[in-house]
Amino acid sequence: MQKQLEEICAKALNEVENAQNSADIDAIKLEYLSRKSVLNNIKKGLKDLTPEQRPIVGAFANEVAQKIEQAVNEKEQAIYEKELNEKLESERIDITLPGRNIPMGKIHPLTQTVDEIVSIFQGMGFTITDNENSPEVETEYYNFDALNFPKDHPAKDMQDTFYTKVAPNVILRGQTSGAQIHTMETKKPPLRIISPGRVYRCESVSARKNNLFHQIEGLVVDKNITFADLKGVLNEFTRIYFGEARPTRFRTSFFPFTEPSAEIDVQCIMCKGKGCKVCSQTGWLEILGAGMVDPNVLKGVGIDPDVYTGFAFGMGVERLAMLKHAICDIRMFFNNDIRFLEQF
Amino acid sequence: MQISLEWLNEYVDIKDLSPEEIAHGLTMSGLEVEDIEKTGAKFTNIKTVEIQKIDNHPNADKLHLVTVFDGTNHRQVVCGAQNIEVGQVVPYASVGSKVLDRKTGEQFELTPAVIRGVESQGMLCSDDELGVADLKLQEEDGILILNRIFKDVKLGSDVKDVLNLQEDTVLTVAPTANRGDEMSVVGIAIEVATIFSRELKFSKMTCANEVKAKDFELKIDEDVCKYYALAILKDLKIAPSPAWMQRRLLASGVRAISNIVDITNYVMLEYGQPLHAFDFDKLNGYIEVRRAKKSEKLVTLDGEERELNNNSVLISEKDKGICLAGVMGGENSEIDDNTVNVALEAAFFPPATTRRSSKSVGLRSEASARFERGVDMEMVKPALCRAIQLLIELCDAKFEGITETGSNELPEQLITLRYAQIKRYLGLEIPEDTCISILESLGFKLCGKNQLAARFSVPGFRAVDVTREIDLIEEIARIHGYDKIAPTLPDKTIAAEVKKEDLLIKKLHYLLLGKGFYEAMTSSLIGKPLYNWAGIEYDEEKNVEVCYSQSEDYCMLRQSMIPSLLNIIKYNFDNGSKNLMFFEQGKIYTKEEPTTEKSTGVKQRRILCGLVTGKTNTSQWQQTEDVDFYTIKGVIENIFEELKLTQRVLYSPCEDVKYLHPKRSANAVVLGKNKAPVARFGELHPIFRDRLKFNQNVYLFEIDLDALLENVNYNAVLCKELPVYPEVTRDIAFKVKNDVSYQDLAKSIKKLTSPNLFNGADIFDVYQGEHVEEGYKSVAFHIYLQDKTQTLTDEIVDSEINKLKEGLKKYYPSVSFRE
Repeated sequence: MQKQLEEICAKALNEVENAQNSADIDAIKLEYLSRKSVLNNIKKGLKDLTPEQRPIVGAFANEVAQKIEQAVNEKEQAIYEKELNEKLESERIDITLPGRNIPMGKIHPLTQTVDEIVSIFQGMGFTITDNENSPEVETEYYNFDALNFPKDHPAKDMQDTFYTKVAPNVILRGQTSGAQIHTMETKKPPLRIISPGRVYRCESVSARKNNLFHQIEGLVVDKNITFADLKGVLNEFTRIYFGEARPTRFRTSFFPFTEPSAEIDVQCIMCKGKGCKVCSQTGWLEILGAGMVDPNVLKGVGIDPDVYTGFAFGMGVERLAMLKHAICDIRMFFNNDIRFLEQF
Repeated sequence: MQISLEWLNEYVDIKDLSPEEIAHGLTMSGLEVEDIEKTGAKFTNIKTVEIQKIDNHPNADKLHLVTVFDGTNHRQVVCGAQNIEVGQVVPYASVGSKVLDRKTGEQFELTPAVIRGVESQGMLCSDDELGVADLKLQEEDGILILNRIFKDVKLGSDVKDVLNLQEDTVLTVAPTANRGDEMSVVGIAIEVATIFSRELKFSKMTCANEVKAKDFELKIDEDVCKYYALAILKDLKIAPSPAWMQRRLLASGVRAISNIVDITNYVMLEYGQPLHAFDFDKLNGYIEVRRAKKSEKLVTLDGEERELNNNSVLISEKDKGICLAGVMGGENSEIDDNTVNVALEAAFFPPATTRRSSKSVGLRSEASARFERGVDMEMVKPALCRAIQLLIELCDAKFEGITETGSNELPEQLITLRYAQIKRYLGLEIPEDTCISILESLGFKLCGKNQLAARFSVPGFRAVDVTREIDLIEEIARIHGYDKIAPTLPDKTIAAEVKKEDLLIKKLHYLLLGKGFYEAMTSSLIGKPLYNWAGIEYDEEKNVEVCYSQSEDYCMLRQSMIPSLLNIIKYNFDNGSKNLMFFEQGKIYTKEEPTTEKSTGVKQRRILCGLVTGKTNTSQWQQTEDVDFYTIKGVIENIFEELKLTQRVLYSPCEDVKYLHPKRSANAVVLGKNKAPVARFGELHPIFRDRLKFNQNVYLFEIDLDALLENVNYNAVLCKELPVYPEVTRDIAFKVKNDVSYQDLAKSIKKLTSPNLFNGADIFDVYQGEHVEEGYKSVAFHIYLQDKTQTLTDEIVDSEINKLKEGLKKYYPSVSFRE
């Protein structure tokens, strides 16, 4: 019987050795390790042996069974790995082919610029004006009179205004500053507002100038607001927008609705102040107009200039976007050429 | 405006300052310097020579051998110019001289040269080789012929002296609209003297032995002229003005004409006071300043006949106008070559009326630019005296006297400066002494002071722009320097309000972005050509049209976004992009209500619109699919879903919109207080598509954002508990007549199912064709049932589905179920 077991063991191990695939393994399992296997038949015959032989042969039979099982398991694992590798190899794809194109849109570079600028000011407590406080079609009252433009004064030529046939006093606004007046008429200080919007100028269209563009207006009115605060807030803005290392300078200018008034230059981002074509050799780029709100403007909206002071500023979005992205033709923004838009 | 530093130096000592320092000082304190140009000779060692002999070059047809003589020596040069003749006096550069390269404009030093085998002892020069082409001394190309322009030119003289080129620097400055005083040399000298703490070398001119002119009557309308003076000068000798004056005029960008005209221009540039010279013999002893009558005409100096109106201000004789006051003279009284007697006008025309007058004829001049900004009333007479002095000196004029009317005295204007206000506005304390010395240097007179305040009187040349304490504070701030004010931040923290509406709009933009839409930005200023091209009509009555535009392409605000959208498609199709998804949030504008002083009556509505065309998937190697009506409808549904409005939206056919396919377009209405459609969308009408030559279908949507947002509920979403018991799905399939819409069926299914069990229904098949008779369609729905309180049994589900089927049959007699 022992001999018979040895033969079975040798045969089984040989078959395991020669197994090629998982089907062969399954057949071996059935033949040698299942309930109906040869081995099991021998175990069933144990009862016919003498009590002395029984444990010896029984132990030997178990040993054989374990041996076969171990061999089968090892072989099975090897075949699984081999087959898996074959399968993986057969599933090879070209991973350098482009991915499936789930479409992705882009936000317009001007909107991106506005969003960035507005969020910087939101961080300093500025609230975006209500839509109805920033109309593009305006009366002369909001575009000029309430902003302290003297009647029949050359200051009105600072912007080439579009007058309309709607009425002699109805114009397309040349600046977002009217939003200051609308807001101050409806809200009382303390005020800290930011108002992005579209403005119009009666100019011929060229690479440098368009007859409409976007501005961002800012206004702060409160007790104890000073020119130093104006400088502080705008320095913070330029620091965040242009980066730490970009110096600014505040130079005297004139706007009817601010006094004192300033224009703010940032060191040329192209030549870093050395002088180049972009900055007309000056080393500086003008980016902002600003000043302390003129007492006449405050009086006009019923805010007492002896109690409150404020500052206001305005900047051109296209100009800032053009500088930042090295765009040399303003018309690109409005052509909506997908080859342009997809770059941002 | 251009200013010569050589001229400026006459009034304030600036020799030790570099032009860049001066420019920086002026720019920072408010007079922006736009350009610094060094003038003077760009060449060295060029002498005048006479051409004595011209021979042909032995080896070249187009070259000559020219013998020239400088008064001492003869030289021979090779020259290729065609305009030379014997006897001409021309510029000659010898070896070692520096001239400009004709092509590059760079200066180079002349070296010995052998040209085609013949030695050239230097060269003859053209105007661009000398860098004087700008002076336009001669029209023809070639060598500059000096004796044609300068009759008495001597041989061997330095051409720099002949051409009167002297070293100078010219600044181009841009005075701001409030600063008329900076439109003069003296005005800028005051600024420079203050900025650099120097002495101003200027005192007002008065007339020595002034007499009253006889036999001349003046009359003024004080609304349009406050003061008018006329000086009579006789026996003038008209001639070119002296070189120094011509040079200064040229540096200021003014062409020299003759001594009389040049003197009026010179004094205007110097003092900022425009003057006008009449030919005395063309006048008849009476001058009046008045408003023009309607349709009155005047031929101005430029030869144009101008039609005037009530806003135009005229200098007039009894029967005719002779000058547009403060703007431009009339042809009928102008100075000409035969003028011997002159009436010289100096007047104060107020800013506003001069501006209206200038606008009434659409004519601007150096004079009107100054009057509009405001000239110094107290400088009118001194300017006249300065001109008289120059006329006597340079034209041998005989001064007959002055006649004047009106008042040239300004009422004293006093402003109190409280020191505390300086700190209040600037956030910086500036010492009292500094404040006072700045203002005094700028021409303000200290009239009294105590510990808290000082009082100043305003000089005439600042009477227009400095009227209040805040104006004085600005003067102090700009001279003291904005850079001395240390930045601070407002001492209060204020929280920015974030509006729910703004957040929601952003959310919609990002939704569209995620769907693959590009954001577009189109011009809101459009014109008839675009409307016509697009085939879109607009309402003339409600149109917002501009009065004057550079182009008919930009003359009105749009009433519709559609033309702009179609234009985006055309632009990109033309550039080879065929698969497009764009959205834009823009405004449309219509005149709806009457205009008042403060209200335009124009409505501006926010529109969210977009387009899709081409393939949904633009990958080259994978399957792609054409977009269709349902692509764009999906986007619209997403938007309503994002706004939590899906349950309240009804879609209806949109057959009345011209640009949309009548059978493949829809209106979306949000049920609520306002039943007007908030959106419409669909396929571009084939007629439009063909006319615009689009080779593929285009789908558009337009959402009235303002109307849409009115329907939005901003309340926070409350979370629903997730169900414990499972959902059961049953499918039903049936045939029904074609004209029954999905929307109706879906509504009916919801209505026919018990509300406590109904958990939604999805259509998953719509079929027409084989096995379905003409006029019918086969549809199939998944019906979802769920009970919050128990697991549903088959019996309950079966009975629910049967009830639904019975109901559908009743609602739609054409329904027949497939089992």
